[in-house]
Amino acid sequence: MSPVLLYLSFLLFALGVLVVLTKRDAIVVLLGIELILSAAILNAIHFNQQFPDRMDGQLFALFIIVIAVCEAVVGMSIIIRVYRYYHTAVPDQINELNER
Amino acid sequence: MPYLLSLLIFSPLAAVLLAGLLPSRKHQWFRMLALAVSIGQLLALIALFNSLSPNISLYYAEQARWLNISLGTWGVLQANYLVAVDGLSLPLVALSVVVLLIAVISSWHEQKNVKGYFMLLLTLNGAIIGSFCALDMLLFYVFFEFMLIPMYFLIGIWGGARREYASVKFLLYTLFGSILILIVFIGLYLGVGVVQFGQILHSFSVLDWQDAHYHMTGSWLTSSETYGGFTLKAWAFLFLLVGFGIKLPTVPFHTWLPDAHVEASTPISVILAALLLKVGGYGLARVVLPVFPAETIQFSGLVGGLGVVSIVYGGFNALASKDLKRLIAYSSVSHMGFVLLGLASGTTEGIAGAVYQMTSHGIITSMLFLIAGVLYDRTHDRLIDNYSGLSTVMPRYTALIMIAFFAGMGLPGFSGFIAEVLVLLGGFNPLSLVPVWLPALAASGLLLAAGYFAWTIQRMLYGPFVTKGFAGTLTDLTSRERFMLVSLAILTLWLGILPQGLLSLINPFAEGLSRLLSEHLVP
Amino acid sequence: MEVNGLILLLPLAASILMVTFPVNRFPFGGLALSVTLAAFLLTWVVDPGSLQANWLQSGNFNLPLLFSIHDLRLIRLIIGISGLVQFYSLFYLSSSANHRSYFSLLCFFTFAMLGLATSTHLLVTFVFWELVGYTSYRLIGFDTTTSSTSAALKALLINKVGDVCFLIGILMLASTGLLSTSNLAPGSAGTLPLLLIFVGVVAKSAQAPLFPWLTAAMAGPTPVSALLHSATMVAAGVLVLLRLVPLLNDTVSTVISFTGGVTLLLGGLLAIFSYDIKRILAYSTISQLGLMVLAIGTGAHASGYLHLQTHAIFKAGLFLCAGVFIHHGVISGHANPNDIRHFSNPNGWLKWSWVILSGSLVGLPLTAGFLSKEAILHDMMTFSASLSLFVWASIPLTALYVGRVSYFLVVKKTESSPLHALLLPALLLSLVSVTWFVAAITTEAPTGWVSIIISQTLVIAGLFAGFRLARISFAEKSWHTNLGLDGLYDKKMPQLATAWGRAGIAVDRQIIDRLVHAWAYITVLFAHLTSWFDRAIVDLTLVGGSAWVVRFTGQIVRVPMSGKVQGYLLWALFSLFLFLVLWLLL
Repeated sequence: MSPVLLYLSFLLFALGVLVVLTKRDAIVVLLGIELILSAAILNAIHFNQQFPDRMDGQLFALFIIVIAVCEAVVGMSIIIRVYRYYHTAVPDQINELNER
Repeated sequence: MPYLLSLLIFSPLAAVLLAGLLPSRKHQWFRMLALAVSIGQLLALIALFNSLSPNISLYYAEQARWLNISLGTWGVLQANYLVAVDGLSLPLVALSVVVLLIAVISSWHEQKNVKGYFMLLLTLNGAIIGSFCALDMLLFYVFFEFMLIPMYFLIGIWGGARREYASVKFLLYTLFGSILILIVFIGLYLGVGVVQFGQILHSFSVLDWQDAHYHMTGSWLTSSETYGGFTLKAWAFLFLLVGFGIKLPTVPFHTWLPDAHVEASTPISVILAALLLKVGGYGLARVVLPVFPAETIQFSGLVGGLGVVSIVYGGFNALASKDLKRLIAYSSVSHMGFVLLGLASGTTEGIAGAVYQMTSHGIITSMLFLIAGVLYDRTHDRLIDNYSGLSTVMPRYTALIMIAFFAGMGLPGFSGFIAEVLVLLGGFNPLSLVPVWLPALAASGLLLAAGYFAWTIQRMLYGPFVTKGFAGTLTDLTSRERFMLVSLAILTLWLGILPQGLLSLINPFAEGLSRLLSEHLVP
Repeated sequence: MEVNGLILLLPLAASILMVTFPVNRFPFGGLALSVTLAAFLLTWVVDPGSLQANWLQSGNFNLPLLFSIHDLRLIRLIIGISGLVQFYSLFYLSSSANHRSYFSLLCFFTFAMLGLATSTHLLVTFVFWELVGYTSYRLIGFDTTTSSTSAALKALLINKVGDVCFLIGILMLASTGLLSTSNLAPGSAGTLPLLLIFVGVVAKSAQAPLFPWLTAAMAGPTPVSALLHSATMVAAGVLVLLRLVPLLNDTVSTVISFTGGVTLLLGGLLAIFSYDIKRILAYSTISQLGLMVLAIGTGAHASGYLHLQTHAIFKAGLFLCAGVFIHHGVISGHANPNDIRHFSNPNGWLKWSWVILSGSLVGLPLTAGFLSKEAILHDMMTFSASLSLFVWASIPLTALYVGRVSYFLVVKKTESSPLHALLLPALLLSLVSVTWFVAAITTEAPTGWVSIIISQTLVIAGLFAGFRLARISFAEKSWHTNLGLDGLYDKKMPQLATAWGRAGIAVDRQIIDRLVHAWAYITVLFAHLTSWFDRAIVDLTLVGGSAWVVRFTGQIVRVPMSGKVQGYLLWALFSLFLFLVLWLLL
C-alpha cells in the first residue's frame, strides 16, 4: 500500500496545526481547522485502502466532510459574535480570561 | 436534713442564673433576691447546726460522683463531689454566711450597675462557701479560682480612684499563688493512689492525701532526692506556703492587700478582709499541715517567724498610715500573723487559737471596715487627719467605733482576746514547735494595736470638731448601719464572753492535727 | 453560793442596764448608788467560799473562772469606797456631763475591780486587769478635752506596756500549772516570768520609771482620781504581787524591793516641789505604793497588805477633800483651781477631815495609818535592816510634803459655812480611819516602842519643817514634773514608734512593692519581646513563608493561563504529545 496519502495527511495536519496556532486572524484559524479536518479525511481514506472490501473509511470521510461543514458554520457564527462584542477577530486580543 | 451544704453553696449560684433573666432596671429585685438568698443561707446554717453528727472528725458530709474522665493511656481523671464541715470549716462557713448577709445589707444603696453587682456578689457567695466546704481538692481549686474573677470586677468597677491598678494587682498576685498551688495539687494527685483492677486510681480528696498509706512508693512523695538542699516534699510545702501565704497575707507577699482594700467599696472590703483572707489560713490548715507534717516541723521556725514578722511589721505600718482604710488593712495583716503563729506552734491551743482568730477577726474586721465606710459614704475622705471631734456630732458612731477599736486591740470581753491568748499559749507551751521568743515578740503586737487604734480614737473622736467642709454631711448612724454594727458587736461579745461553745467545735480538729504533727516529731 | 456571785454581778448588771437604758432622763447616779449599797449589804450576808465556772478549755489548757470570796474586808473596802465616790459624784458632776456613761463606767469598774481582787487564776486576773485599765482610760478622758484625752491615751499606752509583759509572764508560767495559785513553792517559777509580771505591776502601780501616767491621769474628774488612781486600781499591782509571794526568789525580791524603795523616795521628793494639789496627791500615791511594794519585796507581806487597805481609805478621803477645795476654786473663778497657793478653807468640817486623813498618811497615832506604818517599819527592821533605811528616810519626807500642803490648806484662815453634802464621804472616811485604829488597838497593842517613838519624832519634825517650807516658793524646774520623763514618754517614744512605722511603710512601698512592680515590668517586657518574636520571626518565616510558597506555586501554575486561545491549544497539544510519548514508552 502506498503511504503517499498518509504522508500527505500528515503534512496537511502539520500545516493545519501551524495555521491554528500561529495565525493572527480567527477566520484563518478556522481555515486551519479545515485543513486539519481534511487531513483526517485523507487519513481515513488511506486506512480504508487496507480493507478494500469495506467502505468504512469512505463513509467516515463523508461524515467528516459534513461535520466540517457544521463545525465551520458554528465556528463562523461564534467568530461573528465575538467580533461583534470585542470588535476584533484577533485571538490574541481576546484574552479577558488572562490569569497572569 | 440532707444536702444542706450543697444548698448553701448552690443557692447563690442558682440565684445568679435567675438574676441573669431579670431586667436590669428593676434594681430592687436584685437587692431583694440577694437578701433572700442570704437569709435562706442563714436558715440553712441554723438547720446545719441542728443536723451535726456526733462523729468526731467530720460533722456533716455530702458525697457524690463527679468527674470520671478516661484519658486513654494516661489513665482516668477522677474527682468526686465531696463537701463536708469539721471543726476547721464550720466556724468559717458560719462566718461567711453572716458576713455575706452583712455585705448585702451594706450594698443596699449601690446605684451603679446594680444587676451586675449583685450577680457578681452572689457568685462570690457560692464560691466562698464552696471553698470552705470542699474536701476534694479539684473542687476546692475550682471554687478557689471562682472567687478571683468576681472580686476582680467588683474592685475594678465599683472601687475608688485607683481601682484598676488595685484590681489587676490583686488578680495577678493571687493568681500567681494559685498556680503554685495547682502545681502541687496535681503533683499530689499523681503521687497518691491505689492500685485497683490493675489500674492506678488517683484521688483529689485531701483525706486520702493525708493518709500516708496512699502515698505511692516511687512517687515524689516517698522519694528523698534533694534539689537545692530540699526534698521535693519540702519544695511542695514551700510552694503551698507561698501560694496560700499570698492570700493570708503574709509579709512579704502582702502588698496587694492595702491597695485592694483602700480602693474597694465598703461591702467589698468587708468580704475581702473577713472571708478571702481566711481562705489562705484555711488552706494552710486543711492541706499544708496535715499532708506535710514532717515539713511543717522542719519549717516551723520559718512559718512562725513569718507570722511574727507580719504581726510586728503590719502593726508598725498601721501606726504610720494616714488613710483610715489603709490602717485597718495593715491591722488585718497584723492579726492574720497570729493565725500563722498559731498554726506553726503545732499545739492544740495554738491551732485552736488560729481558727478562733480567723473567726474572730472576720467579725471584728467587718466592723472596722463598716466603721470606715460610714465616714467614707458621707464624705469620700479617708484621711484620719481630716477628722476631729467626731464624738460631739456622732455619739452613736463614737460608741460603736470604741467597741470596734477595742475589740481590735484584744481587750478581754471580745473574741480577739480569746483567740490571741490561745495562740500565745500555744506558742509558749513547752511542746510548741516555735522558740519562746517568737510568741513573746508577737505579744508586743498587742501593744502596737493599742497604739494605733487608741491614737486614731484620739485624733478622730476627740478634740475640737473641725468641719473642713463636711458641715452638714456628718449625720449619725442610720438604722441600717446601726443594725449591722450592733449585730457584729453582739457576735464578738458573745464569742469573747462565752468562748467554749465555739471552742468545743474547734477542739477536736485542733487536737487531731496536733497529734498528727507530734507523731512526726523525730525523738 | 448564788449570793457570792451576786456581789460581782450586781454592779455589772447595773452597768449594762445603764448603757442600754432607753430613757435619757433617768437618775443614773441613784441607780448606781443603790446597787452599790445593795452589794455592800450583801457582803454581810455572804458566807465565804469559792466560785467556779468553766470558761475556756483547749487541749491540755483549762481556764476556769475561779473566784474566792474570802477576804471580805478588801471586798467591803472596794465596794464601800466605790459607793462613797458615787455619792460624791452626784454632787460633783456638772448637770451637763454624761451621767449615763459616767455611772455605768463606775459600776463597771466596781465589777472589774472586785473580779480582779477575788480571782485566783492569774489569767482571769489579767482579764479584769485589762478591763480596769479600759475603764480608767474612759474615765480619765471623760470631759473629752484634748488634754484629758491625751492623758488617757498616755495612761492606756504605758499600762499596755506593763500589760503585755504581764501577759507574757503569765503565759510562760501557764504550762507549769502555777497560774491557779493554790500549791506554790518557791523556786518553782523561773526568774524571767516573775520579772515580766513585775513589769506589769510596775506599770499598773505606777512605780519608777513607769509612773508618769498617774500624774497625767489627774486630768480626770477628782472622784475618778479618788477611786481609781489612789485607792483601788493602782493597788491592783500590789494585789497581784501579794499573790506571787510564795514564788519569789532572791533575785526577784531584790529587784522588787529596790524598785519600791526608789519609788518611795522619788514620789516623796517630787511631791515637795509641786503646787498642784492633785499632782501632790498623785506623787504621794506613787510614793505609798512604793512603800507597799518595798514591804512585799522584803517579806513584810502582811503589813504591806494592811497598808494597802488603810491607804485606800485615807488617800481616797484626801482626794475627796481636794475635790472640795478645787470645786471652791472653780466657783471663785481662779485660773488654776488646783493650785494650793490660792486655796482658802471654806469649811471647818473639811479642815478636820483633812487633818485626820493626812495624819493617817504620815502615820500619826489615833489613825489607821499609824497601825500600818508602824507595822511595816517593825517588820522591815526584822527582815532587812538595810532596806528599812528606805522607810526611815521616807518618814520625814512624807511628813515634809504633808506639812507643806497642809499649811496652805488648814493653817490659813477659815470661813465658816454649813455642811455640804460633798463633805460627807471624806468625813466618813476619816471616821473610819479613827475607828479602825480604835478597833485594832483594843485587840492588839503595837510593839516596838522605840521605833514608834523615833518615827513619831521624825514625823512631828517633818511636819513643822513642812510648814516652814511652805513659805518658801520654788521656781518651776523641768525635773519637778515627773523627773523630766515626760519628754521621753510624750515625745521620744511616739517619735520612735512613728519613725519605725514610717520605715515600715517605706519598706512596703520602696522595696516590696517595687519588687512587685519590677516583676510586672519584666513580665510586660517579656511580653513585648514575645510579641516582637511573634511578628518578626514566626509570622514572617512560618506564616509568610507558607504564603510565599503558595504564591510562588501559583505564579508557576499561572504561566500557561494567558487568556489566549491559541496558547491554550498549544499547551493542550503539547500535553497530548507528552502523554503519547509516555504511553508509547510504558
